[in-house]
Amino acid sequence: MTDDPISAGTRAGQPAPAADAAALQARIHELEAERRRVFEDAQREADAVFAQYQLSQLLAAGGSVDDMAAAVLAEVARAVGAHAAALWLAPPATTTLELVATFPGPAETIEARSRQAIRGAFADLAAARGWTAARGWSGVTLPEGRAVGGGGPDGAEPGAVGYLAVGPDEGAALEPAHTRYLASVRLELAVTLRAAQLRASLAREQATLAAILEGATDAIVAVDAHRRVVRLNGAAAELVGTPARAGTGMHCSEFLGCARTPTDGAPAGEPLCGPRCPFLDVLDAGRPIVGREMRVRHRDGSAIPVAASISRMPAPDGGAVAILRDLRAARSLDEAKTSFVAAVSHELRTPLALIDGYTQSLLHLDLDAPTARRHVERIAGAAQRLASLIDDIIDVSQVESDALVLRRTPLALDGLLRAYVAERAELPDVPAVALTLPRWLPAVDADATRIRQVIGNLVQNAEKHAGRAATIEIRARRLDDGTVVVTVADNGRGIAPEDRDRAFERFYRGQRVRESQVPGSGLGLYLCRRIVEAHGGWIRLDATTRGTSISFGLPVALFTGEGGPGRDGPEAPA
Amino acid sequence: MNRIGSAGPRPPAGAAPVRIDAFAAADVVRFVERAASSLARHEALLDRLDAALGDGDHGANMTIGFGVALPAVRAGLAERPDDVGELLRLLGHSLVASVGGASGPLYGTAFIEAGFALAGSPAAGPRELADALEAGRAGLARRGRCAIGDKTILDALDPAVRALRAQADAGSPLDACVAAAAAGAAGGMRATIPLVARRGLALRLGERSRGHRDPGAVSCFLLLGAMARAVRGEATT
Repeated sequence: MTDDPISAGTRAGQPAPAADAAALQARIHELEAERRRVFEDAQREADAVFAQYQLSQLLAAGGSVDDMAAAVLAEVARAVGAHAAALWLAPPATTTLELVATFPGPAETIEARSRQAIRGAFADLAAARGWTAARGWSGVTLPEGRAVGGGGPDGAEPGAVGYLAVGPDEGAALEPAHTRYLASVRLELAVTLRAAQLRASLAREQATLAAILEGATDAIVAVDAHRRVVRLNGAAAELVGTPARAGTGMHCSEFLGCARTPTDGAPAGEPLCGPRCPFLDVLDAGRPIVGREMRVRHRDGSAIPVAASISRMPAPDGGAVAILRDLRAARSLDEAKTSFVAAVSHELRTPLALIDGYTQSLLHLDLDAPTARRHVERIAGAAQRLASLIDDIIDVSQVESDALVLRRTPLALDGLLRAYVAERAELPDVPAVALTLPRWLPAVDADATRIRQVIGNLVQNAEKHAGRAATIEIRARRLDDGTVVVTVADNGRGIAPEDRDRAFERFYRGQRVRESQVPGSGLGLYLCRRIVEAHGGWIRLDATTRGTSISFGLPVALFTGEGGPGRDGPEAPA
Repeated sequence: MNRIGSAGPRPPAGAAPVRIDAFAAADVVRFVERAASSLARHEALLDRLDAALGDGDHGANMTIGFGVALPAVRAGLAERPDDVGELLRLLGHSLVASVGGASGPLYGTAFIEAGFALAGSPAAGPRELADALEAGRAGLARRGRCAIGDKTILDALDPAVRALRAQADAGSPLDACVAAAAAGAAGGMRATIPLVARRGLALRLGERSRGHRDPGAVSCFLLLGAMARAVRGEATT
């Protein structure tokens, strides 16, 4: 800038006399100075407006709370000429302030509740960061909503969004213009930062809700007021075989298959959910439907029984949401139960009839001693079968009603298997069991009685289905993943492929078994599965070309004491 | 003073006799003509650069703003053909009002301050032009509260002003002075690439702002290039 910014002044002065010229020159300088002062005032005002504009632009640009806080703080610090600044925010619905940004440098978490505490925290920050600005600090509460009134002297006001502290150069105080700036921007800061916090928590909540919806095993379908699908979860897509993207926007009759051509012989156009659409009922009457049994139709045309609960969604959007529980599993369980009752009745009746018959003979006939003894033996055998059947039933009702109570101890399976095979060898008329064991097996942490029951069930199963001439083999081995596996195999007819999937289900008996008249309740393998799974193990049918082979694995026990089982060492330390 | 070695004749520039080695009111109009066409040509580039760091509208804002300013300064020249300062202030006020975003007030302030420094002069020689651009630089830095290295317009404007001052002090002709300023702006513009932004919307990006040219520095280079062509009397492209 030149000393005499207006060169025109020299032109204006030329025609006047000397004395007048000097006065005029002075007047011109005066006017020049006045002009410059007015210009500079105008520029300063414009500067202040522009500073606020820049902050607003930064706030309007949005972003995460952390990014915004850091940028906003740097901007404010620059605007008021602060060497250091810190910003605390209270998460929504809390009064605890958390440090979210510092200038310069990154933020760390320091909690401060009151103005006094903030002053202390700011001093600590300054000391830790080597700021020279702690003494002349100044701060402003960011008010919640429209509560623009300042905070009390000793506390961030209740419900405040946060607190912003700035430190000018050492010894200096904030200029009045800068104090005004802070006062004029604090409400905008508060509103925008609070909005960013709420946006973040809304996003978190939406993610949680979406995860819950997606994780639900029941089908969930939301429709709008015109019964168009607006949202559905994975279970719903799977239930009807229509992917979520395709299903969204479909009319409910299309999505749930009311309009679909049946493939199960049902007459076309038959309403699936009664004479009137239940969605329509709920939308019109507003009364929720709870657990109504109805049917939906899969894309392949098959009807699926479901229990539907439908309720209206709150205004203003309206619509309704349906939770559909697939009843097929429950239905097939019902069928299995019915056949179980039939089977058990038969099983109970047969030995009872035997007992009754032989008892009648003993009571009313005069039998010789050897015949009477044979009769009594038959009665004893029948009673034993009854007892074992009743044991099975009791066991199942136990594992159904309660979690299985296990008395777990470090258990050497090889010893248990040897003892079992030895005991069995004492019994008359049973096929022998061949036992194959490795040189060493680690101990498992298991309930010896329950595991023995599993082995007994598997061997009896083999014996029952493979016949007396069968060869039965038990093998044990250890896997590298720390599992001990026991396999019971026979050379019988094996399990039909169509029954393999359901072999371990409760009450399930394969078609071939039912036709073969082999007695049984359909509970043996189910019990085995429950017991092994309660131990944290697994049980499965092995793939075999001949006979049946069932394996179960149990996790090796972990011992905390020293001298745990080495590869070739003894397997049962204390 | 030195005569401009212009490629073609300068267009007639109003009634007042204009020394050919000085920046006169009519040159302001020629500058705005060239600036408007250069900005329009580079509008997409500026928008793309701004999208990386800001809100992606710098090119559009500058094109619109100079498009509005051009008739304003043409009218201003007809009214005050002998006051280059007044015309620069008029340009500044027009830019403040018509360029969107922060660049309007920033460039506007620079031209207003430069114009205030030249107020009442029919034309500026190299030294006066250096004075004016220094005043403009100070105004822009004050309004934007920016310093050298903040990755702003200032990072291109500052080396430009220093190059202009050095050439003026060495007694170079006006066209050489302004060409040196444009070259200085080009260097400053390239030097913004590795910088971390400390002003404006790019402030949010922090370290992520590295590796991009600052769009403001680029538009500043374009403006000084337009000024160099205006002084040489090159036709508007």
